[in-house]
Amino acid sequence: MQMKDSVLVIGGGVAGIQAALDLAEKGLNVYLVEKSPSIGGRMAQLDKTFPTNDCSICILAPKMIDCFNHPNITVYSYSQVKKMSRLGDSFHVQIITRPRYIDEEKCTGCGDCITACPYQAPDIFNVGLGSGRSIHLYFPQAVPRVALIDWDTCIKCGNCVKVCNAEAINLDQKSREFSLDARAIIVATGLDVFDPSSIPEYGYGEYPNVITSIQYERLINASGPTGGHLVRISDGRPVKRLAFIQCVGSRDVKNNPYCSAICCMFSTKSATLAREHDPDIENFIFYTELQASGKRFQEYIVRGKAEYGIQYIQAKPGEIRETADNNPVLWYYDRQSSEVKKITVDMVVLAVALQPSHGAGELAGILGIDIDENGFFSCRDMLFAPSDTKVPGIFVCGYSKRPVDITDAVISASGASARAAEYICILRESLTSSLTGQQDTRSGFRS
Amino acid sequence: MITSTQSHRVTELIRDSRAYYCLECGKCTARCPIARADKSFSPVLNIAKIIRGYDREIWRDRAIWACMICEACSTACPSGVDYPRLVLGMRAEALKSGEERSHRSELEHLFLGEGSREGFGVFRKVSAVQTTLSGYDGGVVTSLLIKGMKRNFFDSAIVVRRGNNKKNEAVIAEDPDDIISAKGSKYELLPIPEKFVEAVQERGKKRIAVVGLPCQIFGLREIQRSMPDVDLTAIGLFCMENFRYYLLKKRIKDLLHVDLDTVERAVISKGNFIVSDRGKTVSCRVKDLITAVRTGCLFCTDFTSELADISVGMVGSPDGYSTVIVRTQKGEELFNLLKDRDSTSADNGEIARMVSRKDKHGIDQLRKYLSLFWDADER
Repeated sequence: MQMKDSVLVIGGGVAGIQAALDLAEKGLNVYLVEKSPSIGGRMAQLDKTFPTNDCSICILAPKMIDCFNHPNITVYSYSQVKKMSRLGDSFHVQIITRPRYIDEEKCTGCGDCITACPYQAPDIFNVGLGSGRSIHLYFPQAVPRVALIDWDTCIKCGNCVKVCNAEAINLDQKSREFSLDARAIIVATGLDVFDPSSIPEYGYGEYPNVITSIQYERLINASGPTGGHLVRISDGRPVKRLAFIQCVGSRDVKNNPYCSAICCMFSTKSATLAREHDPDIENFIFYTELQASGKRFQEYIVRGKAEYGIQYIQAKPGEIRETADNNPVLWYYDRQSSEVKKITVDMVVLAVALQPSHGAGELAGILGIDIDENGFFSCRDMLFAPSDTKVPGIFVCGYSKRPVDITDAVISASGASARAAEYICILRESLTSSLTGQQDTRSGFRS
Repeated sequence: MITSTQSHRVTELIRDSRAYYCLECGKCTARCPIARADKSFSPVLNIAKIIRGYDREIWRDRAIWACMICEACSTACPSGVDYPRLVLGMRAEALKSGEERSHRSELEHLFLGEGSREGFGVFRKVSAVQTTLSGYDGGVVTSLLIKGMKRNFFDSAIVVRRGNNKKNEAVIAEDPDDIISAKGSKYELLPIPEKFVEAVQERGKKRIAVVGLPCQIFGLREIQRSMPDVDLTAIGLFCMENFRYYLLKKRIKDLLHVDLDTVERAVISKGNFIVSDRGKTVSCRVKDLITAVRTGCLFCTDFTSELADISVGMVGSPDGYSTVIVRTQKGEELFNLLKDRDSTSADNGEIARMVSRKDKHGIDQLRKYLSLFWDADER
């Protein structure tokens, strides 16, 4: 009987989930390692997806649950790859799981502990908007549905221990290390968001009503800090005039020279949604060049202009100032009239650059694969082996490889999982052929 | 398209300054203090013109001469276009072709009026002054502002203050208390002309005093041209060079092991950069800080703020005194308000020596620039 071969998928965002499901359906055993307390990744933070305005979590949550419950998939959340070594045809990988201070087996996700917790803590999932509790669920649809304690803000009062009926809380929990063997590895570590406070002229961090695109997603999300009401951070007043600045930190030689690929569509979607929240909202998108290169993307922008009254202005504002009542004022160069103009709005959304996950460099070192000058994983051949890395058996997909939207991330994940399965087939066959004395002539995986 | 009239040097300059990478997003222009006040001034259009071969048109325009090389454009350019470099190169090119309109003398004529002339520009009176109000070497400047405001010479003043977060910021002062909170020297080039434009356009101020460095006073005069109904009192400071603050901060950290953001006092005196903090004083030579000097300063030939109504500095007066150059009638009226001053004569020779040193340095640099282009031409 053939023993089940295993594949390690690093990163549990939409790409990692897709890759894991594809492989599991092929009958392979999958280990899915995710750094944060829940799988789902960036897509779980979004409100809607373009160009269909579908609810993001409604599409993703069933996949997250499928993935977690699949008999062939083991999810290790709150875990990271620490070391990797070759062991014959296998990769021997060491994993470290950070302590949640909750027993994953016992926790039912009922939330009693959260109501009992007296201490306010910053809400990481909501990108600093609103606040949560020291003991919390990473987000309402988190998978696995297990609470965790933010140790830095926890005052160790023990209230949660008292109320937990499942006796799941273990304040003495330590980080856990273990190792596993895999025939192939798929890297899908995704993206991190650029911090725009390094562009001082936009006053991010200084002006309360200047936020990033990912914060905006949480703001208009029904499960977000304001329950989906589009209001200003400074005073809670409904937003009536909203400006978006494109290419903040991308297409910028001092920060990220590349185009982040999704922000033009992202901001168009955000402006459309703002208008759907309140038909009186005026939207301004300040762009460098509009990139609408996907299927139905151009139509989406045309519709934004025609039906949602989005005003596209081709200019990069030079500076944001603030009036006494926290209204951001944007200075920009108007091409039509060739003069510098200013516009006062209620809120500014910075369409910030999306960067490869900040741990990607370290992971590349552990796995022995390359990253390019922008921190994306390099592939063996841009055209004909876009999923392969220089190490046979290690594959990359999603945003960690290059800027992609959700559709492309899913496509590349399926591509990488197909390549991984193919690789394992060849390993099996070469094992057979070495027994029978036949030579394998396929060169696909010879580096 | 590059027309045949464009010289090889200009083509080279375009390449060197990365002008080809311009995305025409207009961020530079939206930041430019002169463009905000004057619709006809536009860095983004100038770049477009130069690339398209209309560079000769620009030499004759004041576009090249009005720029004060404040670097607000280049520091924020997403494509890394070095507009100041383009401007300096175009200036060199224009000078070489004999195209220079004596831009500075035009401004002098417009704003300064009659007076004697020395190496340090038009003046009516030079003296060394001490006032009872002590605020480092800014004592005289602070006194002038307070007296001027109390006597209704102006109703607001643009000054630099160290804010609550310990960062220096340009502010619009509207009463004497605001001015006192801003006393003391700061070695940071802050957006004073921008603040002036804001005071006029947003606060509706018409009578404004500004304290600024030579380049800023120059820029303000440029802006003033397009705002004929604004009454500007320009108090200029002496300036040998200015620094890119983040580079200066790093350099001071390396050399003196102190954080410039948090020190109590930093002052330049006799070629030394002196920092005092919590009773401890450390110093280094200014010339060791050369890597932090702004590009524009290397080419600058204005040491004493020659376009100001009244210029104030340390050079040419004994310790504890400040040198005051009164240039215009307005400056004289303001100066006469200082009743409790203790004055003595200033050393005009020393001022002139410093002026010629800076002149020589600036011209040498521009010549270097020119020779760079000549070499390129011969190749």
